Amino acid sequence: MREIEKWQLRLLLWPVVLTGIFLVFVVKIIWPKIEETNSQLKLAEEVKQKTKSVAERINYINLVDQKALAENESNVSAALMPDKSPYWLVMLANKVGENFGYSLVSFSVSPGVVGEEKEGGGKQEVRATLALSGPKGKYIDLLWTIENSLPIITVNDFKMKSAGEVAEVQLSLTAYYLPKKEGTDLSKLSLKDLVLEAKEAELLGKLAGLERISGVEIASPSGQGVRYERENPFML
Amino acid sequence: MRDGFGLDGLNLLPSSAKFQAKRVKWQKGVRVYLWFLGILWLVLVVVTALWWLIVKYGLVNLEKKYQGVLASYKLLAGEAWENEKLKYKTKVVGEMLTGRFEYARTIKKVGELFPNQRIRINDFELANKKKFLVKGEIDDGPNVDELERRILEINRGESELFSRANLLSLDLAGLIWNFQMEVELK
Repeated sequence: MREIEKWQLRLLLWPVVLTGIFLVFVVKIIWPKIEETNSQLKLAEEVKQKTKSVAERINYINLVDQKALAENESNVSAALMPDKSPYWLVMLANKVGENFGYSLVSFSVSPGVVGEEKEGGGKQEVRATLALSGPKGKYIDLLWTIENSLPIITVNDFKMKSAGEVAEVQLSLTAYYLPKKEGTDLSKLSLKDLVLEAKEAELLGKLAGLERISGVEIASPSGQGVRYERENPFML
Repeated sequence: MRDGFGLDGLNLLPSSAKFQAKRVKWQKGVRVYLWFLGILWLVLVVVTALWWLIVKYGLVNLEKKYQGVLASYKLLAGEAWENEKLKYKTKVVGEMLTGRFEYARTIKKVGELFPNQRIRINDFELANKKKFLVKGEIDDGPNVDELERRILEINRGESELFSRANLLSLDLAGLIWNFQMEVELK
């Protein structure tokens, strides 16, 4: 192999140095810039998708009939208990019973855990057991109305005893209460969270056809106790 | 013919001239290489900078467009939350109704067990959510045949509502036949 002479080495010095500088430049400046541009491209694609998604939501909201939305909201809210008090449930069942000549014989409730209402929590069960007495011929109508009215009440257990034309029905009932939910962060809301599926729309149609149990009023607890300054009889 | 070489391939140039020629050739090569490197450098810088600028400009525009769309969406926040709430509540109500057993509907079905008014159901009990224990009475003998016919019909699968029926007891008390049967719903 031929030896490289000094003048050749001197001549090659500049190309070698400049090639080195070029490579360092590519690695330190050009390559990071290419990577940055690539990540910006990805970001641009994300922004495009987000814009599309928001535009879809706007279009959907603009298409929704506000009157129908309000009606549906009213019906679906009526399907749930307006109060988590089980006494409400007893009053509702009693109200239905009264319409069929039934009167309340007894009831028992389990108020559950007493405490602050947890906002945004899932549905809460409201349970009550009660006995109603009335005309035997009307018990199916009574049961039918309880099961096919708003709010939606589920009969967990049903027993009937009859003596002559008088029947006593024992009902174990469950209804649901939904704590208030704050609106989700708008940017996190997807179109899927807004659009009703076919079966949900069908359900809303069904709810619209159900009668509402009305005329039930229950005093909401004020939370104010009355203090009676009585003497302790055991200390007299 | 290569420079400094004769037709027969012999080097006819003096050694210093040969050296100069070699040196010039090398210098030319290095120059060409440096030009190439310079142009490559320039092209790389220009292309990268242009690409970066175009992408950056596009991104800024897309961001502006997104902010605009988002601003109009925020104006519809109330309606968006109403829709969300409706969807959420409908889902909850749907869950409540899934698998819900309806006593009234089922009892009405039991009422349709005997369309003949002379076979009366006096009492029934739910053995489970599909099976009933039915107690009833029949006025006269020919209607007992009707009861048996109905049981056969159900067990042959000809009933739309019931899948199976079983007569548990049949007693005659005076002129009235009392029966007890088990019926299963479809």
